[in-house]
Amino acid sequence: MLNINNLTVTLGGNKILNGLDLSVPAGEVHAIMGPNGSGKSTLSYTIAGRDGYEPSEGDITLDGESLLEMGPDERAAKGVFLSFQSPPAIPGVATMNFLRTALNAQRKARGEEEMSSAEFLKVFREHAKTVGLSPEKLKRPFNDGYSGGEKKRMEMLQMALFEPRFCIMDETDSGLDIDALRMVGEVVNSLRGPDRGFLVITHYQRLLDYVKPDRIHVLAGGRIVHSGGPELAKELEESGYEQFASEAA
Amino acid sequence: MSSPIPLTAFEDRLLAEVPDTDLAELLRSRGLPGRRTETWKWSDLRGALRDVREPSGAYASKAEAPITLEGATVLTLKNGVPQAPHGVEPKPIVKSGEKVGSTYVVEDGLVVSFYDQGRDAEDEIGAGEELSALAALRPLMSISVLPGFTHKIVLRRLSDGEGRHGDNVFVTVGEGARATLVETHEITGSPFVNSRTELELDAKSVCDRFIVQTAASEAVLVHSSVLRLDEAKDGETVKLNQMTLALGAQLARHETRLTHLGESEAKIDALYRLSDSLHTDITSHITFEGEDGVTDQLVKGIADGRSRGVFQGKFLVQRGAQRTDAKMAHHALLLSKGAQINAKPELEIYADDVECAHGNTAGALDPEALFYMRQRGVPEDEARSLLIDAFGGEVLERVKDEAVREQLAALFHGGAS
Repeated sequence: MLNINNLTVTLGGNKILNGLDLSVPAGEVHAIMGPNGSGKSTLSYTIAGRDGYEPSEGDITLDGESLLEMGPDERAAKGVFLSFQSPPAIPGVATMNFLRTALNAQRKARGEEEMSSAEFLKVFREHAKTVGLSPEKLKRPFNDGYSGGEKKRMEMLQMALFEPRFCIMDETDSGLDIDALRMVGEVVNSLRGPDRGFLVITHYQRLLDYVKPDRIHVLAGGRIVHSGGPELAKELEESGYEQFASEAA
Repeated sequence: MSSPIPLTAFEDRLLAEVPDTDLAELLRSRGLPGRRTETWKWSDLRGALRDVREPSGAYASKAEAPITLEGATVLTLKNGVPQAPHGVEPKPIVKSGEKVGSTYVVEDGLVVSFYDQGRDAEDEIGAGEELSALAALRPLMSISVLPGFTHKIVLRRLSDGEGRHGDNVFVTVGEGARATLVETHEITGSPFVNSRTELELDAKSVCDRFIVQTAASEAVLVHSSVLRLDEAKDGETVKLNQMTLALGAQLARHETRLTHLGESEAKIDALYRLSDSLHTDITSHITFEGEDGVTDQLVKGIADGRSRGVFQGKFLVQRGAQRTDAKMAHHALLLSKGAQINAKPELEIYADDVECAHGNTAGALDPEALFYMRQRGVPEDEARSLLIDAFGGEVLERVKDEAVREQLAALFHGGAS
């Protein structure tokens, strides 16, 4: 499914990702853990295709097709979804109009039929209920006046709505209480399936109590320095990244 | 006063037509306002009008109204010439036994008069107001909404050709009357148009005024508005809601001079959207003469290509204008490296118990929001368009009339295209 090969990204003269290799097969959930500044967010922005995050070396492929020449919207249409660590508010842009425009733009790019307003509204309301966002909130401009937790709920709503092929969750757990974490777990687990992959970026083990990963990777110094099974999370929680950080050098 | 400068051939021509008054003296000594005039330094009218322009001939184009207003009386000026209202018999206006104009009772409580002459507006000639005074010399068209009546008026200004013309419109909204006034500038070709609207709002009246100027890449337009808001009576204040939508010209200046005589409320909003090498200048000068005047001004603009947007806003709070409440905000989006925004907010305050605030920003589209929208699958052009509409939406939301708001939004969305 997602293959990253020798990925090197330099920002402001600093090599943030340094020959990173990673492979997430379809149907699996992989977690990336790592200390602050190890390049976790850079990795998610690079996969999503943000301006300024063009790799100097390496490649990223989804189902064998390179993503690097595609704009962020083309990657989204291919099924790449990024749940943002700090989603922006977009004042003046009506939430439902934006999301319907986005959904139909993806469908159009894939040669699928666009979704009618009525159908969209029905699906949208269902997901809003699942993630616990009130209809009143959703009448506001996108993320306008939302708390940090509500913004994360909106991310999960969209993940459910777009039904992406590959989901990157960048610290979705940060700032969430237990109930919200459980909701995130529910959304992810309902989406898990043989055709879909997940990359869960997190600092803490607690999200992994709700989203059981197949593999865990330690990111340090811009590359994956250690990989293991789900048991690695506990080990990291107890002894920290120090033991692996030295491997990055 | 600076020493006289060599005049252009066009200035010489203008001078020959102006009565020998202070206005002529001013034009003779410094020519038309332009780069060297402090209040016109970003709108070089003089530079744009170097070549002699002959008076415009008859209007020969066809234009589709950019905005319509249900139930409104439509009045038209073609190349500056007022067109007689349909189906109404004129009555002569006689002064000292001589006919000086014609008057039309268009509807109950709505009177339109055409005079053969304008007037010498010497009292209004200050720094850079020569254009307003020049327009005041034109034959006067007056529109009166009589006390207590409610009327909707669309005043279409149609212009074409490559000459020059202007107009001189005087609107009064009588005591307790309500008026919706839409003024358009629909220009094809490359004329120089010098328009003037004088608007007097009597006690307890309410006026929603919209100025809509569609894009005219080769035209030069100056529209001066002189507004007076009467003081409150029986606890009721005069209310003016003005909104200008300007889509640019080779040079376009929309200037508003407003005086709060006492307690009254005004919104002086504007929205401009420019591309290519279009120019728009939104200038306002609000004077608080009496107590309890309220102005709330929100101006937003978008400049793309090599266009230039200018905002000059001034609040003058005179001694004794206590409890003035004045807010001014101008925010601009620059969509390209070649685009320019020049802004100058100015406060001059001589009273001590006042609230005055101003804010001014210029920047690019939020890259964070743009990336976010694209990550969700919205193509770049569409994401930019949504963000631009959202930016302008803040001004448009302040328009209460839904039908008008939607038409303005569509014009704004279409921009200069």
